[in-house]
This record gives sequence, structure tokens and C-alpha cells, in this order.
Amino acid sequence: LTSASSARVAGSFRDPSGFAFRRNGLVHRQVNAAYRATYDALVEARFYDEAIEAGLLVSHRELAADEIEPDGAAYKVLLPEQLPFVSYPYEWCFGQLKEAALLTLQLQRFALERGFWLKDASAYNVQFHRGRAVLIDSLSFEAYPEGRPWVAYQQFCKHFLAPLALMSHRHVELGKLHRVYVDGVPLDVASALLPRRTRYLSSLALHVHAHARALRAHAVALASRGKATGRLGRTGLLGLIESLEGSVRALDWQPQGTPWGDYYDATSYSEEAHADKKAVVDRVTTSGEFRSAWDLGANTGVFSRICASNALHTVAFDADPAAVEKNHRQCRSDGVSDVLPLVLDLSNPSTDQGWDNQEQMSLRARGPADLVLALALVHHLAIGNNVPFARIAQFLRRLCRTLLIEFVPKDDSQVQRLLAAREDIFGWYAEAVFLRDMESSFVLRETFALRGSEQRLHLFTAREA
Amino acid sequence: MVTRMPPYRHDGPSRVEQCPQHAATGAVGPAVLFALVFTVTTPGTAHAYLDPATGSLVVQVVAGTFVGGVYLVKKYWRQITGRLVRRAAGDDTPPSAPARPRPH
Repeated sequence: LTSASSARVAGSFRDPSGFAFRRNGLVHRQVNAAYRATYDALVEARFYDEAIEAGLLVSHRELAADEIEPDGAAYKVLLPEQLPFVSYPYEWCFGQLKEAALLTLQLQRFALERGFWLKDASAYNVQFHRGRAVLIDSLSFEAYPEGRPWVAYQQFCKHFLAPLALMSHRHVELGKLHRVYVDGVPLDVASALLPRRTRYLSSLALHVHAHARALRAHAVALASRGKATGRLGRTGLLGLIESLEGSVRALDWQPQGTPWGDYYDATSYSEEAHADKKAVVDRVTTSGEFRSAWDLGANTGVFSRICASNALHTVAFDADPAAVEKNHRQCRSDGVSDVLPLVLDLSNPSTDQGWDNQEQMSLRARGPADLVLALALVHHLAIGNNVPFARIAQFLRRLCRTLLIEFVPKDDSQVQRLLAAREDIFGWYAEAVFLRDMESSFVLRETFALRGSEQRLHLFTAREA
Repeated sequence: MVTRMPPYRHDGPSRVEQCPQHAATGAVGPAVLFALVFTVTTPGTAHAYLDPATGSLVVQVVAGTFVGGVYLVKKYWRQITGRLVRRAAGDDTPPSAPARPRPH
């Protein structure tokens, strides 16, 4: 695939079974000739059909030879259902990582029942689509080699169990270790960070602590003694999966004790102003002009859900893992499928990273969104993070085509909360200065006042770069 | 037709048995773990693109005996209790289809 190779998805290179590439704006997946026998076996067993029907695997269509020109290494080309937004494990809340872990184990059991197994267990192979976790890599399966231990056991523990245990037993922010360790949290790191009591919990003692010690011991052994492996029967493997599943299910985290999780209980908005704000978001998003929205500083997603109700696929970003967890749980309980809550610190947004800085995309590379909502946000960036208005405008300009942004005046109680313990060096923090500095990156379309409030919402169109 | 991998070779003495580093393995019953490692670990070839890591293989092989046993006990316990519940409900017919994976 000469032209396809040039558009190869940068993070898709490890598995010789195939790779993902972009053509005409669509992600495709090439099945290499090396995977032919396994692919045919999966198709013949109706494995893909059943996995897709069960909602475990993203759907795909096999392209006919006249639809795409394959090269010598290609056996087939698949066109998967396209995802509106790709997210990464370091952006997921606790509940999302747990959901992805359980999906992976469910798929392993599902595959074993049909004579296959998962040959990898990467968290990056899971995405959230239509309100649920799904596997996106159709080439992650192979025939089950009877008697062989699970080749992806270590990867599962590093990508799922170790970070979940750290988030549950130490601090929920440790989920961000995924951003540091591209192939999951090393088990010796997890073992050192986990509380001592976890050494006596049978599941974590085995899958994290003993596992870490064994890896350390045998890393030395390998160098001088050569390869070694052993036999694990099907019953043992099923027991291992059940044990891992029990470990994951036992881990829990309740969203509380973070700064903004109870924001709406302590908000300065009157009921009228809050209702007006909702009405403005509804009016802007019912225009039919937008298909996607990013709600920056979304908190628990009140306004994200309004966007979604108007058929916009909405990503709801917030830096507070408690707010994101609440949003995720609310979406699940309400059956909201078009909102994707994610953890993101706008003062240090996700970057291009991984091998050659290309495996995972930055926030900016995944945009621009048709519409960005920045409601009750600007004071956090300007005063909470000392970012001048012009720099905020440049940043937002790169993320969107249209911007709905709220200006919160300095005498607002939420702004005063930010200034409570520090010197006010923000003489420039005023709406007139804000509007002037926004003009370098945006064109003002409309301004909305809120009843009984000094806050105002401004609708901007991004200037051409 | 499912493609099968070549039969797994189980044809040699343990190589890791010779390694003194095993004294550091495991937090759960170290002596028992090492005794099992010495008896079940043999050389072999991995075909997947991931490095399975010898330490991970050893943990699985050792733990497999235990977790596999627990799995069987739970499985039969569920079958027995399921039959008793059906009998109490007056339905002696076995379930018509095997259990499907649980939705998450």
C-alpha cells in the first residue's frame, strides 16, 4: 500500500499481524499475509461476527479487492467503524480503566470458549465508543496454544491491574503514571508504591508483588541461562483469568475529597443564571452547525449533556478525577452514549508521546473540534495558572473552529476564592481587556447576558491561521 | 477450521532450576513456590510478538495450580447449587445453552 503506508498510523507498528493506516480521512486496518491463517480461522469460526454482536469488538467491514489496492504484504484490508475521538488510558478516570480491564478479561474468556485467545492486552487497544468500552484491534487474537501460559499476562498487570491498584489503594492521580510509562506501570514500581497491607491480599500479593519479584529474579536469569517457560493447562488459565477479574472487581474508588467535585453545590450562580446558561448552550448547539464539541472544564458534564442531546459527539474534559468519575457514572446510569468524560489538565495537556513522539497524539493533534465550550474556565487559566488572555486565545484558537466562552468578573466569589491567599497581580483581569485580546485569534459573533449575574457568554469564530 | 500452534515441547530438564536467583521469587509461601517452579519450568519457544517475560511465565505456572483448583471448586459449586435451586423450583431440566460471557 504505497500511499497507505505514507499515512500509516504512527503508533501501529509493533504487531507483525498488520497495522492501521489512514486513507481519505478514514482509518483502515491492513491484515498482513503473516496473519492469513489466523484471520481465516477467525472468520470461519464467525468469531468476529459474534464478538461484534456481543459489543466487545468495534465492527469492521472487509474491503473487496476493487475497493482498495493491496500491496504484496497485505492479505486483506478492513474498514473499521470510525471513532469520533481517540482517548488514552492516562486520560481515563478510575471507572473507565476498570471497565476497560474487565472488557479485556471478558474478551479473553470469550476467545478461549471459541479456541482462541488474546495475544496482547494493551489498554491502548480499548476505546470508549457509543457509551461502552470496545476492543479496536481485530488482530489481537490467535489460536489458543493449549498448555501455554498467557503471553499477555504481564502486559495486563502493567496496563490495568497495577494502575487500578495504585489509584484505589494510594491516590487516584496515579492513573497518570500511564503517561510516563508507555507500556504500563512497571510492576516493581507498583509494588514499591502500594501500601504494605496489599502484600497480604492474596490477589495483589500474587499478581503484583510476587510477579514483580519473579520478573526481577528472572531478568537476571535470562541473560545467562537462555529462554525458559512452562506449562499452564486450560483450567489453570481460566483460573488465572477469574483471579484477575476478582482482583479488578475488588478494587474501588469513590469520587470525593477533590477540590471541584462539589462545584455545583457551592456555585455562585443563581437558579435563573444557571437556567439561562443552559439555554444559551442549547440554542448554540441546536443550530445544526456543529457535529463535535469539546467541553473544557466540564466538571460533571451538565453542559456536555446538553450538547449530546443535540446530537453533538461531546468530549467532557476536566482536571478533577472526581468530577470526571461522577460524570462517567452519571452517563452510564442515564444511558448517555455521546459524552466521553476524560481527565485533562489544561495547564499541561496531553502531548505527542511514545516512540518517536508519535505513538499517542496530543490534544491539539486530535482537533480541531467544531465547537469548544469554555464555561467558568477563563479565571482558572488566567488567575489560577497566570496565563495572559492573549495566550489563552492562541491556545483555544488551535483547538476549535467556534468558541463559546464565559467571562467571570473579578468580584465573583469563585474568582475571589482563587485570590484568597495570594497577592492580586491581575490588574489586567477585566472583560474589556479580555475581549480585546481575544480579537487577535477570534471574531466575536454574539454575546449573551445571564439574568441576575455579571457573567456573560461570548460566541466567537476562530480566525483563519 | 481453527489453526493450531505446534505442540508445546516439554522435553528437557528445568533450566531455571539451576538459577540461584529464585530465592527472591514470590511473597506467598516462597518455599512452596520454588518447589513448584523447579518441577514445572522447562525450556520452550514463544511465538507471539510480545515478550512474555520468564518471571511472568513462572508466576502463572506456579499460580495456575492453585487458581485452577479454586476455579474448579467454584465451577462445581455453582453447578451443584444451580441444580439444587432448579430442583427446589420444580424444574429438573438442565440449562438449554452454555453460559455466555457476562456483559460488563
